[in-house]
Amino acid sequence: MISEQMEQRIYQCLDGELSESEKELLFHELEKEPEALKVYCRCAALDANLQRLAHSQLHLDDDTGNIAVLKKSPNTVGTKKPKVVATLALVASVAAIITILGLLAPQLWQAQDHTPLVSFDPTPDTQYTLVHDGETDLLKETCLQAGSQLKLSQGTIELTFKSGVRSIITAPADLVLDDGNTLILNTGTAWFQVPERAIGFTVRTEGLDIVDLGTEFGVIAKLDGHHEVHVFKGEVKASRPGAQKQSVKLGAGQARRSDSTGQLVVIKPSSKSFITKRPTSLAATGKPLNINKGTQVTGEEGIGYTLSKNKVSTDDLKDGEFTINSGGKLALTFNEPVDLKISTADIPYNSAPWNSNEDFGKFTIVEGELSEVYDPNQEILIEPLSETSFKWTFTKPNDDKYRTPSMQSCRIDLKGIRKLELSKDASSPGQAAFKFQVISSNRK
Amino acid sequence: MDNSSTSPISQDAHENEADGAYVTLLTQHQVNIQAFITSLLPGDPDIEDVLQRTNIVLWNKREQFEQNTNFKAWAFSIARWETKAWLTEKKRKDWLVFNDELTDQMAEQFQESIPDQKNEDMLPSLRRCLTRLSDNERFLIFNYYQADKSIAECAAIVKKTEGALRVALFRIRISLRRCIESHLAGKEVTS
Repeated sequence: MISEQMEQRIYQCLDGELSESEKELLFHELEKEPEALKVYCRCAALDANLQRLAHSQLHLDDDTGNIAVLKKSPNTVGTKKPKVVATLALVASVAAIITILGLLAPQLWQAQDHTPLVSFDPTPDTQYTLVHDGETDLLKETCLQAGSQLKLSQGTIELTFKSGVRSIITAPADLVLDDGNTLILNTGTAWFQVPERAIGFTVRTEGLDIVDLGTEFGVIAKLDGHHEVHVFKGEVKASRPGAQKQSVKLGAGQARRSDSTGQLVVIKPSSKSFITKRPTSLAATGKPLNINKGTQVTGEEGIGYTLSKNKVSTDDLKDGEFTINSGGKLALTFNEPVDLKISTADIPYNSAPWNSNEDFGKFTIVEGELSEVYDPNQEILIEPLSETSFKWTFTKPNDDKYRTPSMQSCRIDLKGIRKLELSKDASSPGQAAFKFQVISSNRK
Repeated sequence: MDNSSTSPISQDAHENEADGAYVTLLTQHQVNIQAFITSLLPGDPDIEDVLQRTNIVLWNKREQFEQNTNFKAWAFSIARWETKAWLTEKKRKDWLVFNDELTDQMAEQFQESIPDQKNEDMLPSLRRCLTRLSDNERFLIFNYYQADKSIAECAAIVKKTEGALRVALFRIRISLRRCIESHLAGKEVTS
């Protein structure tokens, strides 16, 4: 291992910061120290790759197919650093040579193909940030280049790869496109459908490398080090990256979890964990959370809603509270009919404003009935949409009331409920918070 | 009778195919050639010119290249020759480039310690390692490499002192190099 001081001098040399005599001295040392020479070559390789990557952002094909420098580098005089050849500039130089000779190789056409490696289609109200090789894409283009990082905080995105691979990514997710054939899933839940021509498509997480062998599969990457692969059709090869390699071929109906101990553990495949079709709205992506009496729900989160209590015990179900952040649905299912009281709940002042369109949400009684509405201040309107579905709207827009409405005094009573769904459409901005309380069990 | 092997169309197709394969090699090894020229002319603003010259010679000599032989070694020998020729034209004397023994060792290093497989993987590994940097670190490194400027000039742009930027860039590049090497080492073990 070489000293940091030596490596520092190597970078100074590559940066053009050493005098001729200093360079000569360094090279004499490199000649005598093979390890230092190795590091020098690796640093030069890193330098070339960084230049290539950094400059590939500066060049884009214009409409006529010519290479155009669109932005950056306002001042290129007086450089000490070497000018570099960006990927496309390189292609242009090769193209020039070939054009002169009247030849056009198929590979060159491939290099000039304007089709993005990956295009994506977010559901309405999906929130994401896109960074192309370190720079935020302020134009919010819906395509990924090699190196693009996509962070999804809410909603669902469908990715379409040039190779024909289709993927649905569910928030929260953080991914990087390595190249047209490899996706790095740092966190998130993703479903993939890979056509035959794209066999070899690879998904990498911190804990798993998954190579497709012609299939349909799902990957879950969690921050806690648990990574899962679920195969629904065909085969994949799953392995643990790193020294303690474990590799296994998985067929349809098989799943593995790579845990923090480095083991690939057999788990039950779950197609329900993945969305396989791009939803038309965020609300539709909300997987209902079913709270069955006799079961426990521990810190479970769905899309578009969060349970504000970490633990809702339904063994002796009395009450619960939850928030729909943007659009989502929560379903309460009881093993026996109960009487329920539903009211709005507090939303902290530091959260986003909610219900600015006065539309609070909707509740649908799958089995049971709406027995009474208590609204002494006449602040809410319950509008029947059908016999079992009701729209819940505020009638008095007031910022204070919107955040902390006098909901304690307004509530609805429901009778003989077996199943109730509370939902909020994503098209209505803000959040909605509900409380429910079991008044009595109808069991005699 | 099948005349296809002798027809002009077939010959053209064959040539186009060979040229296509050659362009693939040339494109695949661009970053290697660039890295090798960078190691021969560290900190020189004319690396691009030498690379362009090398590319032109490589293209003109494409028919001399024997398929399935070591393209990289061949490209490096041309790159070294072109670097020397360019320095001679510029009437510059560069101790390193004219030290055949050391440049031989460098070429060997690029062949041995950074084999093709690793070079192909280096860019994806670099991308992955870049995502592990903080936003500020990414901003610094991209600004430096995009601006084509000296550290002193770049320091003024990013509003840092020259010393602070030098240290920051050094730390970032050390961490990137180590990250890439550990990533590639992992892949080597698993492959």
